[in-house]
Amino acid sequence: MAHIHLPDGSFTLLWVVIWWAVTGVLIAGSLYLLRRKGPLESRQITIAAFCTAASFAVFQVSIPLFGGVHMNLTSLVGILTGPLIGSLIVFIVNILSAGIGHGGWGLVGANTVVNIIEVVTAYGVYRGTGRFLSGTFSRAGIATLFSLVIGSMGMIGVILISGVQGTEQTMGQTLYGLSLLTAVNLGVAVIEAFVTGYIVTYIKRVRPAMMQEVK
Amino acid sequence: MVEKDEKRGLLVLGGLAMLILIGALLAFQITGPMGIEERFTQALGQQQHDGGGDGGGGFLGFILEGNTLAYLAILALLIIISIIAFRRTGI
Repeated sequence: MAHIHLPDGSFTLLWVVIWWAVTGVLIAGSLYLLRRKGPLESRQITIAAFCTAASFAVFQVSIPLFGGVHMNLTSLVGILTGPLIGSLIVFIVNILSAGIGHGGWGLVGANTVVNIIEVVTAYGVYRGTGRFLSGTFSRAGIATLFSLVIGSMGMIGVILISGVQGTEQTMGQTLYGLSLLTAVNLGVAVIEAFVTGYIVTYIKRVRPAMMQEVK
Repeated sequence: MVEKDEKRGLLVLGGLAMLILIGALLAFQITGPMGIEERFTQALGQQQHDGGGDGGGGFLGFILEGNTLAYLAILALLIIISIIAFRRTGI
């Protein structure tokens, strides 16, 4: 859900390169760890393909809520595929989104970092809550809410660290503006939490093999 | 025990959802209705730029961002890949 919706040229070239480099390191690290774990099961490839298609399809649609917000199912991706494959999926979705003109190419790096934060948080919270909660729906919903809040904070952090060209606001004014924006955007997090909770519960019931990584 | 756990989970989820919704509504009252790009440009004190949307009116308020033809082509490709993966490997 968190997505830096700014055109190319908003970040300086230095920060574009830095965020692309961070993304490169994270993607390379994910690929390395996946290789170390051994060959992927065919089941994981199928799930990754479905998650990529679903995330891409949903992400490009502006939902008429609070004037227009987005969902991108990053928490669902994290819960179903885990942080390693999930990181690759959000990278691909961001590349494809830029390819069709939704978001600038220069922001793919920063947006991928933000989405990886969501994927990792959702996976961690879903697994972590398994120790003291048994309901799949509530665990997935809570994981989604946490991941989207943390991801939004990550987005604010990325923008504040990078700075935005063409603005004369102070950092305090930018933080206030972004906090308001994030609070409004998080309205859709509630919908995404219920959608994710329902999908994860349904999959666990009809295709439990898809949920082997995360019990 | 399991039922009690489930109820507790739903209560936590409901509580968090309520808090977030209240925050979203309060923030919406302050900012007023505007699209995501307007919201960003206003938050950052930038000039309004041309949006990434394809200019279409959308359907029931749902608007597709970016180029519609490219979206449909890529989505069709992803669906075909998913179907091939599912048929060859299953789950």
